[in-house]
Amino acid sequence: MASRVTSKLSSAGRLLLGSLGNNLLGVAKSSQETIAGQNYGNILSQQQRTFIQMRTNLKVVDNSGAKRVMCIQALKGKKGARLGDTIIASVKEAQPRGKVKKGEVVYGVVVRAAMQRGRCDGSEIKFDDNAVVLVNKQGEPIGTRVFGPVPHELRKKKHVKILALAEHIA
Amino acid sequence: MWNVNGGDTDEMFDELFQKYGKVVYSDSDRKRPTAEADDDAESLSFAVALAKVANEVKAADIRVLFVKPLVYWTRFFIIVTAFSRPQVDAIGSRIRDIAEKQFNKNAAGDTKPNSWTLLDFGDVVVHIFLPQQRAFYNLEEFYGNATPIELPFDTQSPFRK
Repeated sequence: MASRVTSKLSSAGRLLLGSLGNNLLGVAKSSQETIAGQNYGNILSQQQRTFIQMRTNLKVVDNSGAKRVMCIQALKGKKGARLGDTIIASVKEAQPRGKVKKGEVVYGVVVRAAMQRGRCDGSEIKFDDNAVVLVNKQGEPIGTRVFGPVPHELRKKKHVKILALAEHIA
Repeated sequence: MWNVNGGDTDEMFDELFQKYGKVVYSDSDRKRPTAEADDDAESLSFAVALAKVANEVKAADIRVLFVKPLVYWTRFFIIVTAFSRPQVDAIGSRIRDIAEKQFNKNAAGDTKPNSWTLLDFGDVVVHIFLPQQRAFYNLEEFYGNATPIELPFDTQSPFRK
């Protein structure tokens, strides 16, 4: 289950590396770099990813017991939720002995999204899958560990608790 | 790494690197070790000051962990146990006041008292737990590789339940 972090550079035509102290392109998982102006020929064959909205299936990446949830409401944003937003979801599949059961309505924070999200330095980050971490109403994670990479955007959105439990930060 | 003649591949690669390797690109914004140590010392003094404040409010089991080699987004973690929600509130407000007055740093953290309150000062992150949450999340185990920092007062004894 490799998830690929791709950072697409801005269309200004210049190579801007994120000055976050961690090179996005140097992540252990394979990453591709598209220099703008060279690959616009295949833009029609690239998929247009969109927001996380009602009926979106997401993967759960903590050890709270749930495996898959379906979004029923994006809490902020008219069109849907993006990376770092909170959603309300219904648990569709759960592990037998977990903290949540199938059919429960839970809150979650989106930690990986297939739709790219722009960063303040002009680069963009997108992942291969949609993943969520279950939290309670106060914003505290229900599980104790978060698997897979999580993006830096969570810090700005005050989800530092999830960053503290994450095993890898992209 | 494949096994070559009994598994001393690391030394072989090290030798090759020393003989033939050359630096093509070095990170230009990496500070010199002395400048980095100065920044660390400043954050360290900040962290120790916050730990002292927490001690005054009778928080238990104060640990300061140096996590810079493990995570890049912060330098120090302070983990503190409080026994009741009002105490969590008190610790939080005291720490915020001291940080603002002495060091001019503002906390980005949640304001409503939860069972896990977190204050993010950039280089230093303060976690305030209730006793059950501390055992539940077990951050010390997760960051077991971080070097603990000695505090000038003795509160290393675990809290009495």
